[in-house]
Amino acid sequence: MKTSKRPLEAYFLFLVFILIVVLGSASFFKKWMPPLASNRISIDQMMTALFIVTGVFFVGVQGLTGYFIWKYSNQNVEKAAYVSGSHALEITWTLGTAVILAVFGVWSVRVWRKTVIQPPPSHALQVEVVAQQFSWNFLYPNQDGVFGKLNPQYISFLNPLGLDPKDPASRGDIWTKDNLYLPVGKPVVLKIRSLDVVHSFFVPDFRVKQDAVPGMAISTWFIPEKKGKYEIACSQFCGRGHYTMRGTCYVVSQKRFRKELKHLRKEDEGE
Amino acid sequence: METKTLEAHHKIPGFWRHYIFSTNHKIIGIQYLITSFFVALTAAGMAMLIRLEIAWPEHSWPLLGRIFPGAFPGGVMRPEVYAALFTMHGTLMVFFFLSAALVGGFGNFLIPLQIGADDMAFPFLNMLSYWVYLLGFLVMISSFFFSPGGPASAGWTSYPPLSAIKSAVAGSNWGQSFWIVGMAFFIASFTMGGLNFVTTVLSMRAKGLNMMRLPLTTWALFVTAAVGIFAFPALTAAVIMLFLDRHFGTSFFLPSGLYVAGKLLNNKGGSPLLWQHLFWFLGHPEVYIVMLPAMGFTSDILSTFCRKPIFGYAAMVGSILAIGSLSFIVWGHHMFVSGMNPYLGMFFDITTLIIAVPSAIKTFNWMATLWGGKIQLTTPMLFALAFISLFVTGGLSGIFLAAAPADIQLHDTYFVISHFHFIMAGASLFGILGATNFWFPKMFGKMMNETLGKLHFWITFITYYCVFFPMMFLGLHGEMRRLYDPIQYYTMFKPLQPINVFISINAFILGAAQLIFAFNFFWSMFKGKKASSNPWNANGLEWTLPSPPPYENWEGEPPEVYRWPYDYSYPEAPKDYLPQIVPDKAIAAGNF
Amino acid sequence: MTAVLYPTKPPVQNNGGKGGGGPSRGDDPYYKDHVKWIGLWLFLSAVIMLFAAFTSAVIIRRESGDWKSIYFPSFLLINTVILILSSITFEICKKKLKTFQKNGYRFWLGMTVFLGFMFLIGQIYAWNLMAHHGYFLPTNPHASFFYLLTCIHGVHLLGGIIWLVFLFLGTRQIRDVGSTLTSVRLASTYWHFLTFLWVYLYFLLKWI
Repeated sequence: MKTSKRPLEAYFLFLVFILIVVLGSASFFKKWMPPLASNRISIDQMMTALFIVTGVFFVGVQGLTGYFIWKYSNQNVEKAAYVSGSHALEITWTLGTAVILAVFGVWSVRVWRKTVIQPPPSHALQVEVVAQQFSWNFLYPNQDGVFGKLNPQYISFLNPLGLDPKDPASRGDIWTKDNLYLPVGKPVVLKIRSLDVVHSFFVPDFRVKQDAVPGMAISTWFIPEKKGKYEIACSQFCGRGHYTMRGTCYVVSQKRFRKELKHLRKEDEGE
Repeated sequence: METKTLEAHHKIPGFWRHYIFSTNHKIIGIQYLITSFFVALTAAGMAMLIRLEIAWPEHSWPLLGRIFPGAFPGGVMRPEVYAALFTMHGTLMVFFFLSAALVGGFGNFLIPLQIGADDMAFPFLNMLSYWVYLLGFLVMISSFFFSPGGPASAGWTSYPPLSAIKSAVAGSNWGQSFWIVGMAFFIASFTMGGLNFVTTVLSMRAKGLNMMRLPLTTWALFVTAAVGIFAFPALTAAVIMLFLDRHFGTSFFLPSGLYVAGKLLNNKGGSPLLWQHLFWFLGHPEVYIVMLPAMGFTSDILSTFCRKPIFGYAAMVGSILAIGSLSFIVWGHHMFVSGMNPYLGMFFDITTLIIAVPSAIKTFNWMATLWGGKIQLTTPMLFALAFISLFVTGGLSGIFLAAAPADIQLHDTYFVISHFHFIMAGASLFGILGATNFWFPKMFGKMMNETLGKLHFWITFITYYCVFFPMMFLGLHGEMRRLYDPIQYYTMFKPLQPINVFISINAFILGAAQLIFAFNFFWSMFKGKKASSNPWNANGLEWTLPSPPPYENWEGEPPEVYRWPYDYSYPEAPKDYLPQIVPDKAIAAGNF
Repeated sequence: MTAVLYPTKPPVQNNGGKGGGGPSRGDDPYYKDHVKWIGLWLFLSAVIMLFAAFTSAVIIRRESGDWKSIYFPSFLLINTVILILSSITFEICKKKLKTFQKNGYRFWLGMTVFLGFMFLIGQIYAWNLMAHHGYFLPTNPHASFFYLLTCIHGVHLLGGIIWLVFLFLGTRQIRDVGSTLTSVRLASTYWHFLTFLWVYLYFLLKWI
């Protein structure tokens, strides 16, 4: 009589591992990332590939572990196999992993070059982003396209960003708070600063995130490609009101964008 | 024989020198372990409050309002309290629980036993290490009671200027100074321990025990201690400069033109990124400090309960060394979107992917160890098997974060929280729990209760996945960490709130299940079944001593070692294990 | 098939009845010294890492625009010479111990302690000079690093002086020259390390 003597837990553990595999992989069929609204499709493509490859490993490794537990918990065997290694196997999986990771290394560096390192087109719209506890300020240049100098010395209630009043370029610059208007399809360069602590400019729909570090002006650029209203988040903990530091980004048509700017300029001058 | 025991008895000092101010590595190890479990319960309690707030933001809990009227006015948690809780949860868990339990607790207890030494190289330094650690913890925890403005609340990473300017956040008033002093004590304690471990392993091994015959636990603890010695000084430098910035008006981390709380500060030219570099130069090796020992425990437990040699021992040692050394050149992957030079980002992207190779080798070796084994599903084995599962889940999610462009989307979201709670927090926690169940008989001479142990395991394993796996989806959607109220302002996170409720309910079960473990631990210490000297039929040197071992382990007569510790199911041996002290000649006789 | 894939030999050869391989501390009278040397060098590597971290901070911090070099007290050159002298007197002291000249050993050890104290007093005097010229800790980044690095080095040197004082107090009952020599060698390694460290810091602070 050869009955397998297997503890009940072996079956249960096997079941849990399979459940992890099934739930884990099933949940990836739903699109969890918000639909892309910018030109950064290369990030999404790479992540899809990562999902597939890591998913295969996830299913394989978890499933096989569960299977081994079930298979080798049979206590009827006299002794376990006395094996302590196999050069062939070890070299195979080391090289295999290395090759796959090398592919992603090259791929991610290429995407990184494309999204972060590559300079923006020269006709891009320039917007200064100034983060402070706990709001986002946006500054559009006047018609000549040059920003006024920012100097915190000049900060006052009416001049919350410290635009240098002596700088001729600062005349006509448009300041808005918490609302960012962007024309659809046009490249935009955000020059991100902070007045106080480290913040982080994050729009999940655009796949854009960049820390705002005091003492630095860090540029990041992208092309908004879908009209709509998107939430701007602060993703770096910045103090008591971190959770309130939400801005809104309106991606609108070129015509509407010009109208909004004109409207904002009037508002600014009205003050 | 008679006289020898008598002599040995004379060496044992009185109660105070034996149990409290002890220089004995076993006592110190147990002191560390029990203290760190207490820390873990404290920090887990904080996590429960954090989850309560996230799932039901700004909800009023009258009971909490009555217990903590200051922190919960009207039963609603204040945002400052929320910030203090996640800051202290992280700090206490990473440093004062995981590092302390793995390195201070098991390192102290196991290293001399596994290498056949009577004690550590510097016993006095060892005692000092524990007391300085305890002092550090007391300073940290006292900031809840004595610090105006409450404990530090700039996150466990304490990025300046938030952590450097008193008016930036309530916890930066005095709490941050408590944090700095507490960390300084911890670093001093860890360095003392590290010196001891490395010296002990290098110079006090028993005869015949060369480095390639060490159990992987000792290997891992050895490399961990070395990594700690080289990595912690960077944080020492950083906290000294942060302290000067906070109290003496220097500008190491504070740039010009800071405008905080309606006031222009007159700092000049400092660099907030400098802190991030120094912090993560420690911070990333620290992740491996809590990872490597757990890997070592798992290897030993797996081999023991598969009744089979560990697969690819040399590759295992190699990957421990590779992970330990590579951990020093990957820190920048925490800073892809920090404004660091993007070309550096490319460098850290590649190095981080490289460090995944030794981690993968370890995983495959563990699986191959299972292959062809004769698996015994004891409680420690269950934890070791769950360790593999958590490690794989956490490791694979880590590849997303290593790839710099994907990190743009995922940085500072719940994806990161999920990732490190699987790989660094979870896997190490399961390593600690498995190791506690495994070595408990050696520590106290009693067995832990298997029924309670298994009940604890099943609840912990299942709820652990239920808590941290859904967080990946929150993160993919973009939900950020450290939000006091995720839905009041952000409409995009409103549809995700049911997930948060699900996570929180599971978190409460997970937290409550740990009380089973705490009960089992103390109950078994007194009422447990008496343990034999080698209850698991294991090979290591520690299992040749009585349980618990005598005060001076081998009492000056160190054992001689003839083989590696993984000779399970050795074909010529009469039993399925073969202790390290058995010479080939004695195998046939079977007298061990 | 499996036999090919899975060799049944452990990767670590068991050498049967023989022990060997590991250190045989039972037979080695210098085994205790061995332990101390490893401990000392590990500690020194932690100190090296600490100052490496400070050095990288100096390098990064210099990049920002406000870095101005400060008045650098030329007195520090004298102080540097004092510290180098103390290293030399320590070497003489070691030689005296090796040739069993107890009084000479005590004299030169005392001399080293004295010079170490002189150096510390000199550092405090240098701080006074700096303050006199209007350079305080927060005045500018170069000054901040000056005070910070001299202070951390000074703390380590103070530790060294305490160590030497203990050695000095122990000179009355030297029974075993061998073990005393080890302690003195350890202390002198630490002391020379701090001298080197100071020379390095001097160059770092003056010329960088």
